[in-house]
Amino acid sequence: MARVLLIEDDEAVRDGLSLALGRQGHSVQACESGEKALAELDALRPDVVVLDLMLPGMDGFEVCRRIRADGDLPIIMLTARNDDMDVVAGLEAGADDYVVKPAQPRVLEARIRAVLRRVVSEPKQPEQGVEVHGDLTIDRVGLVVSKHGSPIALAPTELRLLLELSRVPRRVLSRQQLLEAVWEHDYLGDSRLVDACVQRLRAKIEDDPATPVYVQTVRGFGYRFGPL
Amino acid sequence: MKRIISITGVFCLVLLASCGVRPSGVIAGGEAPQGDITLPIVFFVSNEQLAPATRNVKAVDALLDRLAAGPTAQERREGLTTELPAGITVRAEMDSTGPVIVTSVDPQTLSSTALDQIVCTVAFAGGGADGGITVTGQGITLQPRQCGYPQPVSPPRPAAELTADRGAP
Amino acid sequence: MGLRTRLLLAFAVLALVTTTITAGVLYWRARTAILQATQDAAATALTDRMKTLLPLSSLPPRSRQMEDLVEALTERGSAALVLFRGQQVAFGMHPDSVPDTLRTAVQSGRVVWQRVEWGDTPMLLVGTQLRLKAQPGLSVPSGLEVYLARNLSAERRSINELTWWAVAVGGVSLGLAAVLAWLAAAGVLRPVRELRQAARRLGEGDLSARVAVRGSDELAEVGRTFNSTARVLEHQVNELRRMEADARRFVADVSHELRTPLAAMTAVTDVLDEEAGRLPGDAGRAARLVSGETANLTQLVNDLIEVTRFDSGSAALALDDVDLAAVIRASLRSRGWVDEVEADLPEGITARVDPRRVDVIVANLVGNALRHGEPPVTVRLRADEAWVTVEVADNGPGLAEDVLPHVFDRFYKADTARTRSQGSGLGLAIAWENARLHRQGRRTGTLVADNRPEGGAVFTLTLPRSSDEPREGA
Repeated sequence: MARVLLIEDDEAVRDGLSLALGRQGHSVQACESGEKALAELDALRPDVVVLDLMLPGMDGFEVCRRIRADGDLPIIMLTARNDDMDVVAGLEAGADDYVVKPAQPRVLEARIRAVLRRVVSEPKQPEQGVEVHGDLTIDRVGLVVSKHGSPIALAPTELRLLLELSRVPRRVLSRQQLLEAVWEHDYLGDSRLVDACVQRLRAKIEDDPATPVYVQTVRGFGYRFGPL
Repeated sequence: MKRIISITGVFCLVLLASCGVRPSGVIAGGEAPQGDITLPIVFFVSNEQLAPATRNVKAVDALLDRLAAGPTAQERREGLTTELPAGITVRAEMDSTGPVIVTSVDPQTLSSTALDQIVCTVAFAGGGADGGITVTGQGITLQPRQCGYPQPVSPPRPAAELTADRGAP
Repeated sequence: MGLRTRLLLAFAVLALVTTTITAGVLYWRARTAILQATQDAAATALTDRMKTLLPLSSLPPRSRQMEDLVEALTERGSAALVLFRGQQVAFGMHPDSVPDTLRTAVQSGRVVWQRVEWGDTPMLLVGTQLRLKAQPGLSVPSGLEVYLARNLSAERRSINELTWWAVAVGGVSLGLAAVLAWLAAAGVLRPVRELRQAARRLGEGDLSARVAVRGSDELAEVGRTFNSTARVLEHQVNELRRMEADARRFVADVSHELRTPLAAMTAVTDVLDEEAGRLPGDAGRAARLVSGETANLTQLVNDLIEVTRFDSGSAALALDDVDLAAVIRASLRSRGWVDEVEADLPEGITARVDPRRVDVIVANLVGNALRHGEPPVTVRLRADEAWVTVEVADNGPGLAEDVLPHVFDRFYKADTARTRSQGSGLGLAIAWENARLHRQGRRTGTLVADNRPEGGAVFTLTLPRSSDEPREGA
């Protein structure tokens, strides 16, 4: 179904996850280190990266940053420790979602599918095509966001978040609503995913991320798009 | 601690009470001044006590005559009386034992004060003797008696007041 | 009464007593001396003057002589009175001014005196007779009495001045004593205060608290003892802490070490489950056993790690403003409990909580009720201005009295015969820690276990509701 690049140093975990994901129909490429994975990234051309944060040599955060710098490849972190610092740092490094080890294969599978769905357009939406919000131009069909006419490179999660918010301008969406809509978490998710993604999105589309115009915080409720 | 405070308080009160110059009771000091008199004196009675009066005579008999005569009008105005009966005559004689006073009446009829008048007048006139003075009359002789005028006595000192005994000689 | 007050009082009383006795005796002696001198002088003046009449030439003395006498005695606020046989013959004052008691006392043949007040003026009255001397030991009153009144105002002024001085000296020495007492008290109390502060710091957990020891008195000895005790205490507590930290770190390390193999095993449990049906006999049962116990072990290790995070203080809240009814409903739905639980969840109760921790609490409470209680299990959400309350109740036998205090203890088993229950044994402990993690200002979330009057156990979760703190990072 999808090409999954699994970066995991422990052989047993690597084999186990490869086996489980393989049985789900994915084609799994496993690497035991970040350096090796980065070197083979272009050759492998994966659809999604499952990345263990605890790696020998170059650590998971650095690998995450390098992959994110190169493109919009979706990244799911495997956090061996449920440490909040790790989660926050990973999300800031550009990860789209995370799964705590030991992970149920079907949880990981669900996250992979959710991430992959963000990359493709939403067929259920009767899109009217191009919308203009201030300096921003959002092409819902072509999935391109431009500012002052020049396209902005958005990661799939960031793009989906922007699309969800801008679909209902001026309406406040709670973090849990966004988690369900964007991350497809079937129940209570980690709201820090939303906060971290909003930070990254603001850094790309706002003139001044400190005083956001497009993605605004509504204290006590959540986020909303505009008013401009 | 409480006891100390209360003791101190009592002490302060005592001290305060003895402060300043306050009215006092009567305080007795030394003896009253006494001295001589140039004229002979006779004794009459004032306020039931013997009171001296001067008479300008030398002889004892003359003096006793004046005593028998009683106080002058002026002295009566000043409150002097006599207990000697009117018309009495008194004379002084000497015998071996000392002066003997001879009265014209039975001395037993005379009051004690009247006898004192006679005895003290004689005693002050220089007729006194250690054995006392005998009064006789109409053949009746009394026991010798002294001039019994009460003498100053030292009163008991009030404890609370220091007095100055040496103040008066 | 404090030490300072007692010292001050003792000094004050001491000073007061000493000063009062000293000043009082001196004052009293001085006053007596002044009055006595005055009285003696007055008596001497009177008798001396009267002796100038002697020897008398007649009775009464010539009036000219007596007027001279009165005139000689009358000086500087003094007045004199001469009586002969009770009648006044020469006078500078009225006979009624002399009290009868004094008049009577004069008859005793002595010099007598009395202090009286004429209006506000203190006066000394001295009176005596003039007596006639007949022969040794025999004298009679001549009927002449002389009285002298002397003004004592000057003496009273002097004595009042003495009083003032006595009071002033007493006051000054009292003040001086107070200052000395203060200094002495400060000297004694400073080490005591330092000791008290050090002891309080020690009691508050600052085991490095020591006192500076000065000198070699009893207080210094106390200070030294305190220091050595604190030193021993600090050493032992540090040792205990180190051992406890070691033990905790060991548990944390073990848990983390277990994670990696568990991650590999968990990854393939689905494979085992799918293949178990196709495996013959014992192999299939073994595969299902391994799969199920792997899930239990995973749960246990996850709970252990969670507990170690609470112990190390690294558990942090991810606060969000959420609709609690939605959170609880999602929690029940995700575990498939919607049909087993009677939920009373009014809409519109929002609170600033960590939704995932609330989820953990609700899941543990409801799971516990479903496992150990009898249906129906009810979940009730209520709120007021400051707090939100979630009650999870069941209709089971309830909790025994001896179980209640330990229900949130780790690995506590109400039924000792049951060696292992379905949960990890840490669920309620984790729920309790999660509740307490919610704190806003001085208000802390609580989780309480109790029995309902109508039977069954009830767990009540109370969380602080409103907060004015700005949300971080938004």
